[in-house]
Amino acid sequence: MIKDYVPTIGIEVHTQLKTDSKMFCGCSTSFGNRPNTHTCPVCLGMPGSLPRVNRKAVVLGLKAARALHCAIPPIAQFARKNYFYPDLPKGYQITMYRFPLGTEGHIDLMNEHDKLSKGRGIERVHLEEDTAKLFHEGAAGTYIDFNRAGLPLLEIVSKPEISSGSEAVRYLKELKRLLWFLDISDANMEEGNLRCELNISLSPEDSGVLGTRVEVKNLNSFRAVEHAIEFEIKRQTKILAGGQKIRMETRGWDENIDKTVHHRFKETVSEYRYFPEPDLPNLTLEGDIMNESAFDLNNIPARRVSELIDRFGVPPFGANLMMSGTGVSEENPYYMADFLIEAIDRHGAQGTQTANLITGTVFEFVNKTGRMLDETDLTPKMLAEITKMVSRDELSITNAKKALNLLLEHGGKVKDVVQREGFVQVTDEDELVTLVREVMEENEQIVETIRKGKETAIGALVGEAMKKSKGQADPRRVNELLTELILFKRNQT
Amino acid sequence: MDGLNDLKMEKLADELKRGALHPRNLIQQCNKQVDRIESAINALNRETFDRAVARIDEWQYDPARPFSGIPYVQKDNICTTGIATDCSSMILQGFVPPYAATVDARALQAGFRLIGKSNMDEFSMGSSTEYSAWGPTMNPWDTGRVPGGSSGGSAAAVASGMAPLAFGSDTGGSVRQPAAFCGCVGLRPTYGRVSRWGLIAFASSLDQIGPITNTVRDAAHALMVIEGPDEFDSTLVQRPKENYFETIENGMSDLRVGVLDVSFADWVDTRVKESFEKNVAWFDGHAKSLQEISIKSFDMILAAYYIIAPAEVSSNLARFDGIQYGPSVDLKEEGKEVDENTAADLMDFYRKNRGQGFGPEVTRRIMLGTFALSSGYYDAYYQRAQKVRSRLRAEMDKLWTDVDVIISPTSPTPPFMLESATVDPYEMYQADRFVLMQAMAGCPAISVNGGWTEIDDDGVTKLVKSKRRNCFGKYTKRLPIGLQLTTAPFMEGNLLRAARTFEREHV
Repeated sequence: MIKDYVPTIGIEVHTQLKTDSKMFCGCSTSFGNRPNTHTCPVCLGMPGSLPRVNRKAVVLGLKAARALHCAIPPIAQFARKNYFYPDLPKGYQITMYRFPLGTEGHIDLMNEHDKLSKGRGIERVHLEEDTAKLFHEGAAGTYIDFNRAGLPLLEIVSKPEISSGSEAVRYLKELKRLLWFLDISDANMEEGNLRCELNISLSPEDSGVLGTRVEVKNLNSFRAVEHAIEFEIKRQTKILAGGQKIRMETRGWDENIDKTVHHRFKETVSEYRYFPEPDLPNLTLEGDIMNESAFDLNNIPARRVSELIDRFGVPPFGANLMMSGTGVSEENPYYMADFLIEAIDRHGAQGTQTANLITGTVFEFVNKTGRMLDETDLTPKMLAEITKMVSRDELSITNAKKALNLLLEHGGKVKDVVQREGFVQVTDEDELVTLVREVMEENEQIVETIRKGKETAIGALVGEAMKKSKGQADPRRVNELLTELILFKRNQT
Repeated sequence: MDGLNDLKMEKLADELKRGALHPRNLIQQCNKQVDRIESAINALNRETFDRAVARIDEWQYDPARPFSGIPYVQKDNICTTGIATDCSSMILQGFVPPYAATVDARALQAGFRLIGKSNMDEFSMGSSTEYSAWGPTMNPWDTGRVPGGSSGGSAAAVASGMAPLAFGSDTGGSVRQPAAFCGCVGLRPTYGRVSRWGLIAFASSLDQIGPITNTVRDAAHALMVIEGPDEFDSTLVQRPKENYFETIENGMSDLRVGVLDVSFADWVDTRVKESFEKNVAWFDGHAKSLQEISIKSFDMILAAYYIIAPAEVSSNLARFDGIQYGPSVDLKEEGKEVDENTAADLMDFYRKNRGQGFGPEVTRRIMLGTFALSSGYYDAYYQRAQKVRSRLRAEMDKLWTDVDVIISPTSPTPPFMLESATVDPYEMYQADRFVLMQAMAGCPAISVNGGWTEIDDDGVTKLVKSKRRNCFGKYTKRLPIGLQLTTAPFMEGNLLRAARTFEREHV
């Protein structure tokens, strides 16, 4: 009999903070330079050198902790994690152990019903330094690049409350979005500045005990995370169902075979001999540093999405797209959402329609040209003008999109563009009657069919009228006029 | 000059100012003294006279830099740009720092001329300078005895007239005890007053650099050169330099003196007690008040120190693995057996390089510290030791409401014979008992000469009045005994003033 097993998953995320200099020295953090060019006695761990804390990194770390609703303790403390490895120049890594930057938080998530909800728990958030990078070149040996040594890292540990691959990905995507939007990290998994490790264990349903933990590393995409979890759940279920025991081990994700592979067994608890870093005073988390790391909690991306949906009537798809980081520059991530809100709030545009114009036309433009919305001359006021013209039947949707495209590309005034391009909708009754009569004359057969009762054929005539007017006729009124003229005549006979 | 063993910075500065002496000649004299006695003393790991005389002809007296041209010695755990700095350890052999310790940069800035790097116990671990990979330093007053440690080379250099100033580092007495053994002045500033940037760490929460000189006034001058804000040391209390000379000659009739009760304990040598008794009598006549004080946690300090310091050592010395610095074994060749000169794998490589690179005392402390920090023992050892430290600090904080200066001997014994303490490390650790509480509580302290004792062929017998000037060359059988003064953190003003008042009437 195969029992049901419940997976328990915890995720450790390491993300490189967006600072100009390293965690404990003044060396540059810029990426892709010649190996060992951004080094100094501190990040090389030379004798007699001493670390000094990068204040910006503390500010960014605190910002993340606060965005994740962590409790911020009065004091944080750096500690040394001692172990020997060639990528660790001092023989210890400076990290935080007993007193991290934040504990006991949670992530704001949009749930499957597109409602803002309290997502999975956060165990702790702390700062540490990155290790050097090793390049294994086979028989030629192993090379070390210390440019990475000492880069500021933020470690975010989730509570072991995740139970599926899709849930893990939902958590990671939201976390990535939060870090990017709040300007804490580039959070790019492919470039390695957001790395994650999984802890997965399985236990029999309702047993109340946790199973043996397996660690999975080398995950460099969301897809890898999802697949690795699915794979591990299957693999561990099979072992347990077969009456065998899981051994504590570290496994790695192998992209090529879409499987996790064994790295090493961890039979004993790691011995890191943590103790407080005597070269650095404790960080007092009050006063200036708290002011510097303060921000409007309503800017947490999930909250902004929820606001767009609930307050401004933006469809969920559009709300997420506007808060996805596409179409906006790094310096101005909220531009799209702010743009929409300003158009609605200050310039009286209608929510859903405006959102649809953005998700349709603006994103199409951004994708096609590679230009960001904040690089164009389009203003919320202009967008509001266009949507208002649409509501007043002065502009058709098709022409609204065309006008928007032209404005995005070349700028200018809405009125000028609409007039120059002849987009203004014909609403003059006489002009429309003349147009409708002409269309009726040219399509006598269709008129006949309608008179005989097939009223749906009016659509075809509306189309003809629109074509004839180059889209300028108000289709709603054309429809009304056609109905009136054709059916009225029938009644007369 | 009375003899080259008694070089004084102030006096020399005055001669330089008056044009009675040129730094070239001064450095030459020091060079001669080194040539004459270094083979018998072994105070220096390397000499840098070539650098000291570089562009000396361009030297001009500059009132803004009154000590410009005066020679000094730097302990070999303080980084000197372009000059090998090896902590008297095999594992750092050949390490040439591309940067200077803040202290060294400031000394050079003030115009001092570096003449050599001094011998020390390996990585400062020891109290006799016998644990040096380059052999022991001998006490200039009796070359059969130790100069103290770990800054034994610095103290011996000053005591033997190689230079009027040497810097040492004091983690648990390493400036004060050798100063006492060599009859010099040794100052340990408040933890956080002098930048540790460039000091190769022994125990980071205890290490502090201090000067060794022949007079209290010179120590004050040296401290004023090296102290002051430095962004490169985060544990530094960023405060401006002080001028100790505003008050240093004002006497001490306003200061309340506390006599540490254990100064007369049975583990203190009789001659030390006799000397100290005389010192106490003097203070009784010169201080505002005199009272006996006791520190309840005194007996726990030694144990706590020998947990905290080794714990930090085990981590601080992890970076020495034979890869970037010092000699290393080769990786085993394909098909050959592993022997002591080859390593089978990375761990074996680390093990052999470290096993062969570190001396016995360093190895012992790395092992002690590694044990004390390991999981399951952390609370019982490291955590409890930290509690002792906190309790001591609280107790001493309270003491400063009753007294301004605490006096005690610097060392429980006069300088001991070579090889007499290295047999039993626990015995050696006992010699630190008077100098640990200041390090653990972060207080400044100074050792000045408190008296002299005469030795005959059977050993030390009786106290004598004062030292004879030219100790070297004309051999004298007299040994110095140190007197230690301690004050509250950042009260170096009072400390130097009290020490100066005592010195004025004794030397």
